[in-house]
Amino acid sequence: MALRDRDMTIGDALDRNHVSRRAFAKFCMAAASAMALPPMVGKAMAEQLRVARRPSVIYLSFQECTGCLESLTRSFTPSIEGLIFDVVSLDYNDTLMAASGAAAEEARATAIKENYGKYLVIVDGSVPMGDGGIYSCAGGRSAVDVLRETAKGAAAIVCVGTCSSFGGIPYADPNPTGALPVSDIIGNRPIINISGCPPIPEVITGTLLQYAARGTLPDLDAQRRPTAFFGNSIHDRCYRRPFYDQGKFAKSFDDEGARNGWCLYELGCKGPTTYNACATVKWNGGTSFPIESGHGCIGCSEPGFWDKGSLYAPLSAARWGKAGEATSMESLELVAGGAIVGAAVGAGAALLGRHRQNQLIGGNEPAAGVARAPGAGPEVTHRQEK
Amino acid sequence: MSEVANIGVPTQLGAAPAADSQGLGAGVAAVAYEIAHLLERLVAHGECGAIDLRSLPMTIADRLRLQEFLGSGEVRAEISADGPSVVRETAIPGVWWSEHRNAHAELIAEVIEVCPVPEILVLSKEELATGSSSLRERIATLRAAHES
Amino acid sequence: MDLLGFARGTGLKVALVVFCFGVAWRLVAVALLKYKRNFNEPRRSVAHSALGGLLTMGSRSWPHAEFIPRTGAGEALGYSYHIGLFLIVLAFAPHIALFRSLTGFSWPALPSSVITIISVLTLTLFLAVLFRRVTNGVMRLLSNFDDYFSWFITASVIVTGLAATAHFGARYETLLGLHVLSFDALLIWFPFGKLMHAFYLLPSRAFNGYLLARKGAPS
Repeated sequence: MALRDRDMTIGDALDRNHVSRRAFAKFCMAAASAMALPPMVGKAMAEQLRVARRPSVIYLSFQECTGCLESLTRSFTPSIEGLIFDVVSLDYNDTLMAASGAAAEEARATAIKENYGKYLVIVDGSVPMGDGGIYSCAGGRSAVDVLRETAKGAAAIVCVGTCSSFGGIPYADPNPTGALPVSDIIGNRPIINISGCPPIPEVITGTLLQYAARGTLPDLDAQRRPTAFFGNSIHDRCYRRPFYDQGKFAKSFDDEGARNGWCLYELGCKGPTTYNACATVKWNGGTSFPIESGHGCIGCSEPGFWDKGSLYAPLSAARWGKAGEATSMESLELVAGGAIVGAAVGAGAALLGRHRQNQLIGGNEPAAGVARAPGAGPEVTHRQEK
Repeated sequence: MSEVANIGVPTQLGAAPAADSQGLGAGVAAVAYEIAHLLERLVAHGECGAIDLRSLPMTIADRLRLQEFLGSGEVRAEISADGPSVVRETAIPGVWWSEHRNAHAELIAEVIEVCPVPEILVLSKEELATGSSSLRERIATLRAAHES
Repeated sequence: MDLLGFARGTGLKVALVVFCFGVAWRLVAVALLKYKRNFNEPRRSVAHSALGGLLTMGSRSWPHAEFIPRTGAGEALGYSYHIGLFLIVLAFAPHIALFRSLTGFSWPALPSSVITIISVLTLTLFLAVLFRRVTNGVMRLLSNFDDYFSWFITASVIVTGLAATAHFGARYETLLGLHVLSFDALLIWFPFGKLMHAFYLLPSRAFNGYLLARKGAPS
C-alpha cells in the first residue's frame, strides 16, 4: 500500500495509476458536490491537488469502536479507494493494512523516519491515561506512548470522531480509564478535530482532500473543527425549521405530528446546540439524516454529549440528579425540603414578630422603624393599624 | 399546508399536491434567473459558471419542469471515465446539463454549466503533448513491426 | 460544565430550592403574626364575611369609577404586561416542556409566532413602565433599589428569551444559557423583593375584604 516515492505529486500518482484527468476532475467535482461546496471549488481543488505533494498518512486507532473508520470506508465521493490510492499514501492503518505484527510496526517506523516533519497523523479513539495508560495497549506499548512518539514529526494531527476530538464515550462519567482527547495530550502540533459519532464520511474525506490540496489547515472554529462543515448548527439548516417557528411539535414518536414531519424539539432534538453538516451533506451519499428519518439529533459532535442528560428530554427541560437525569420525584423532594426549612425559618421570624407585637400592644412606644418582623415585609405595619 | 410545499424539499402530507403545469414554479424560476445571470457574465467577461443541482432543494416535479424549460440542443456527449457521464447541450447555447456517475453507476454529481464547452470535454496542453508523443511511439512501433 | 449545562442543572436546582425556601419563609412569617382582637359586633357571619373577602379580590382589582381618569392608564399598562408575561411563561411550548420535566403536567401551547409577537409587545410595555417610573416625579420619589432591580431581572429574562428564540447576538447555546441563568437569578431574588406581591396580593385583598365585610361594608 505504501508508495514510498516521497517527492511524488498527486498528479504523478494519478498518472501512474492510469487515472485520467477527466476521471480525477469528476472525482473532485463529486467531492465538492458531496461537501455542499460550489462546483468551481471542485475545479480549483483538482488543479491544486494535481501539483500537491502526496502526503504520507499514519492512522492511529486507540480507545475506539472503529465506527469512525467504518464511516470513512463508506464514503461515496471521494471513495476510500480513490483517497488511499490516488490522493494520500496511507502508510499505516492497523485495520486496513495487509501487514500485521512486527512488520506493521516497522512500516510505521519507516514512514515516520522517511517523512519526518511532513506526514499527517489521523487519530481515532480517545487516549486512556489512568494507571500509566495500560487500558489501551498494542504491541506492548500504551496508546499515549505511541501517540507522543508519532506526533513528534507530524505536520498536523487530524482527530477523527468525538472520542479523539473531545473524549467521547470513554470520557463519559465516570471515565474509569482516565480517557482524554488528543488535544489534551499533544499541545505543540496543529490539530484538526472532525467530531461526530461517527463523523459524516464525506466530511472526513473532504477535510483530508482540502488539507492535501492547500497544504495548510482549513478555517477552524473555537473547538478546532473545520468551519466549512461545523460552522452552522443542525437547527440553522434543518428542513423542519418552519414547523419549529410555527410551534408545531411532535409529542411522541409516530404520532400524527411526527408523521407530518413536525419539529422534534419535544422529543429531545439537540439540533439547536449541535454544530455539524448533517442537515446539508447528510448521510449515505446524501440520502437522509436522523431528523429526516424521524429521530431527534443527539448532539454527537459536541463535547461531553453523553453527559448532557437524556437524549429524549427537550433542551428546555430541567436537568439534575445523578448523571444529569431529571426525575419528578427528586425535584419534589428538594423543593419540599426547601419549603419545610423555609417554613421553619418563617416560624422563627414570626415568633420574633409576635414578641415585638406584644411589646407594642403592651404600650411601649416603638422606636422609628422597629415595627417589623424580619422577612415579614410592609404588610405588618398595615395590619397593626387595625 | 402551503408553507410545507414551499420549503422546497419533497414532502408528502396525505395526497401529493397536483403538478402545476402553468408556468414555472418559484424554485424553477429562481434557477432560471441564476442561469441567465451566469450567461450574461459569460457573454460580458468570458467567465464560466456552474450550478450544482444537488445543492438546490428542488422537488422532482421542479426538476422535470426545469429540464423541459431548458430543452435539448444539438450536442450529446457520453464520457467513460471512472464511470459513465453524460453532457448534454440544452436548447440555450452555452448552457449544458451534465450528469456524472461513478463506476457503480450511482449519480455523484449533477451540474448545469454555463460555458462555451464543459471543462470535462476539453483537453489540457499536457494531455495533448502526452498524446502526441505517445502517437509517435506507436507509429514507430508499428513501422518496426511491419518492417521486421 | 458549560454555561447552559450549569444553568439548567445545578443553577436551576439551587434557584428552585432557594425560591421555595424564601417563599415559605415569607408566607409563614406573615401568616403566624398576631391578629389584633376585633371587639366590635360582627355585622355578618364568618362564612358571609369570608365570601365578601373572596369577592373583594375581584372588586378591588380595578379602580372605582372616580379614580379611573387618573389611574386607569397605569392600571391597564400593568395588567397588559402581566397578561403578556403569563402567556409567554405558560403557553410557549419549550416552557411547557420545562414544567413537564419538573412536575409531569403539561397542556397545549400557543403557536410560537404568536408568542413572539406577545413577547415583543410585553417588552415594549415593560420599557414604557420603566419610562413612566423614571419620568413621573412622584414615582421617581417613591422608587427604590427593589423597584429597579426587580424590573431589571424580569426584563433580562424577557430580552434573553427573545434573543434565544431569534438566534440573535451569539451562539444559540450561549443565548439559551444566559436565558436560563437569568431565570435562575429571578427565582433567587423573587422571595426577597417586591416580586413577592405575586403571593401576597390576593390573600391581602381577601383579608381586607373579610374585615370590611365583617363590619357590614359592601364588597
